Amino acid sequence: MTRAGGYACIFDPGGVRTEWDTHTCAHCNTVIHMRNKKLDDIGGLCRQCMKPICRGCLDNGCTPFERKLEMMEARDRFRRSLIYGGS
Amino acid sequence: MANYSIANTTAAGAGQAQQNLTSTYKTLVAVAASTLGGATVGSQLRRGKIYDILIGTNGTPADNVLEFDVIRATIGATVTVAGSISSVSSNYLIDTADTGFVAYALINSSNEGNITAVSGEPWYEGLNQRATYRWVANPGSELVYPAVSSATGGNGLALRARSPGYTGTATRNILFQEQ
Repeated sequence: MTRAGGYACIFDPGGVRTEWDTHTCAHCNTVIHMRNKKLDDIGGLCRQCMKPICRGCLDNGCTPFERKLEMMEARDRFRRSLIYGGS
Repeated sequence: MANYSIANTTAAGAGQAQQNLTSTYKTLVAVAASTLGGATVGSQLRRGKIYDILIGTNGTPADNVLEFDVIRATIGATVTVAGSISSVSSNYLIDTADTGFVAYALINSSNEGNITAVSGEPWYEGLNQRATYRWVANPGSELVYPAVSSATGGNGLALRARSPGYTGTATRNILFQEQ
């Protein structure tokens, strides 16, 4: 895989070493092992953010995980500002 | 951005002893943004990224299946959680010129009930008991937890293991960085 998002290896009993490229879903942060070449199993490419996504995110809209993190952090800052007065 | 390494041992001076695995998940290492941390920088919350995971077992060799995962969970809150290492976070530095992390981290927490509200499972792997596994993320593809407190929820990542047959202990090491 070109420009893989990571790399995984298993040292199995008997000294067999199995290696895969991985990618991390840009929408939900799930790590996908590129175990086979069936595209249905490994997800796809989001044509809006142009990043690899997992199978579970294929049918959903494009909300990058970075955007989700920012929304969570904004919600937390707002909640804390109500409790601690902006700290 | 400082980098840290946490293994599920007590060698660095904190955490709980390794727990025997059962058919339900046991948390080996957990790390979260939380105001319960803050050993070095007060109650400031920081985003964190796990970029390396190493797993295996250290019991009597046999052929069993083990399941390992990383869950997105709410960690911390108002209860006392066993296995906290945040007070000695500087013991887990990779570069000793950095400062300790401000995250709330746990090793072998025996209180699974305090790791609540599972909101995702971004990493999962089933392994033979005799196997070892390593995953390394390229920059930009790490497992990320947000800089939010446990009151908002989904503030951390917990690395767990279970087995229907193996009843020994499992090993785990994570490398992560704080932003």
